[in-house]
Amino acid sequence: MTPARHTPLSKLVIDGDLELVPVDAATCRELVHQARNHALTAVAGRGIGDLEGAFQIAYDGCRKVCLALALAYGVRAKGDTGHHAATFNAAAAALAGNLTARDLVDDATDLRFIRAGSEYRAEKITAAAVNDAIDILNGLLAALPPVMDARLTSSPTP
Amino acid sequence: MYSPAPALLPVFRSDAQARILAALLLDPSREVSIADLAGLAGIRPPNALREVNRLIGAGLLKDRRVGRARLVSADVSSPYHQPLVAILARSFGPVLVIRDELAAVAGIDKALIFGSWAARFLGHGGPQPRDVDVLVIGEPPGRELRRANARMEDALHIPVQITTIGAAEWVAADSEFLRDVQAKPSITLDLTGSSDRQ
Repeated sequence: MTPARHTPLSKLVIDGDLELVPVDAATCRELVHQARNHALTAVAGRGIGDLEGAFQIAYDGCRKVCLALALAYGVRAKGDTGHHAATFNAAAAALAGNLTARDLVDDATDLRFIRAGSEYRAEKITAAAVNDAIDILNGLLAALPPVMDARLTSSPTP
Repeated sequence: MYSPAPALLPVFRSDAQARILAALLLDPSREVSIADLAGLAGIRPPNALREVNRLIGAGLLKDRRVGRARLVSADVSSPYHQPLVAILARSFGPVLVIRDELAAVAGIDKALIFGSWAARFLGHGGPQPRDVDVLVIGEPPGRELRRANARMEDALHIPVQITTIGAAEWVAADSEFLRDVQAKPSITLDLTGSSDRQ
């Protein structure tokens, strides 16, 4: 585990990593819908041997489902730098009481190492990395939307 | 045996002094004999003894006798302990932290630190490194390795870039990248013990 990334939501807001936004249930559900499509597209990309494309779309699906959860809690990443990390941190913070789901978010966060290797060091994406990214995305799609829906129906403001 | 100021962070009196402090302050539970400290610092035991006595005199280290052996450890009550730990962790910590993290990951045959950080650590001058490059040889589980990578960055506050290759790829060395890594300074991490070869 990496405790440094498990910062409470309120502290992430106070520290300026996140900002408060109005909760919009339709936007949250649209992001989950996009993420589900990304999971299918990633599988299709893997099927034709486009490992880089499959990984990138699976990673983006992970980011979107985490963003959907963060938005359901009325927060989003602030500013232009490090917004992916802040989005994952927000989702992890929202899941403080659900360690299995939070572990999945941590796994999604760690996909940044593969992404950085591919984008900045021209490292090839392996089939194992793609399989892992798709598994993580499917895990997030199973675990996070119920938490998001519960939040949207019970307490729509942060 | 002359020990120049460390190229990695030339604020310490000598490279040997920095390595002794890093070995003891970054693991305050560690007790080490003078002979072992000499080996860790790459100097002769009489020089290690002088260095240790100086650091004990300054209150940064303490010692105790067990039989005929004199064991040295960090004195955590020193007001300079925590600030020095922060400086040492940032400058000399990567070898210890990365070694310990990778030692806990299955499927790694060999690991080494290369690039500008390794060059500075080994005394080659140049600009301060902005990250630590690590080559992992073997087939570690991806999620486990990435989680270890995240912990390294949390601990060191510096990006740690890990590249993983297979054992056959390392032996064949048929890429410019691998030929470059093999030709330039690197630190091979001992994933089974506590010493590292350069």
